[in-house]
Amino acid sequence: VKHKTSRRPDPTPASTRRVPALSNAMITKLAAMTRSTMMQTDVAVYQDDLTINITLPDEMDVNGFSSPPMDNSDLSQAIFDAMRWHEPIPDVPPKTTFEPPALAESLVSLLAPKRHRAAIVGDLEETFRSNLQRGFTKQRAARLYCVDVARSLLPQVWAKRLGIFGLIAILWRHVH
Amino acid sequence: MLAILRQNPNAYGVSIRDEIKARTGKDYSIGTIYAALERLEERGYVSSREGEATAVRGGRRKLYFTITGAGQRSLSASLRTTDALRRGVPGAEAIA
Repeated sequence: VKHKTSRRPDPTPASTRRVPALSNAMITKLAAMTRSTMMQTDVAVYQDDLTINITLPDEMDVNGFSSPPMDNSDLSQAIFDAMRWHEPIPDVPPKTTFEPPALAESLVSLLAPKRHRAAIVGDLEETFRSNLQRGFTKQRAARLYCVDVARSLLPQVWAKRLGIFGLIAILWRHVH
Repeated sequence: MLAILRQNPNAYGVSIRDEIKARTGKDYSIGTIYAALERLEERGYVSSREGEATAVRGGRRKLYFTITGAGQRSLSASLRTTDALRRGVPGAEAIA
């Protein structure tokens, strides 16, 4: 059985696209499949022209290809996976880890009640990352984080009747 | 306290705030939520326990809240009082 596919023409210059090679795991999977189905021949994958050769033993006819013990769905999936691996993968910018605004985070760490401090900072960060996942830009997520911090700290400051001098005293204690 | 009950056993700051926002439309800040929770905890109406730390929280642990027996009794009494006051009010259907 010879399964041949042709690659779609790719207008992207070869130098700017990434075509990952077949992984060892994929080759191992295909090889194991041939062994488990008593196929004596090999599975050869030519990466240059994307020709996948699957040769069955002489005694196994084409009908045997889709009958037990060959698991046709597994084989089809393996072929599909192999071909998918050869699809040009568009270059994507590397994932960047965005962090919440450091100043706002420091303010929460300083002014939030000690007992719930870690939980509050964690909740704010979870909200920040959730906003990023929802598609907000970094700037918008950071702005919302700062607003959330301000809204979160005001009740605490008010409850402690800190005032401006109290705030300065707390900041001074933490800095020194 | 009702939001904690609804979210039980997964009631922590973010989930409580989201529950309140979904049910009432009011968007309270995390600090406001914790200020209320702190008062409830001081009165013995809720208790807290530390949960798992996750990467999205910068490795910080969640703080889960549950209602204590005293909290349940207080909540029931409060709801009964509200119901008793509402019953028989002229035009009650307008505030139902």
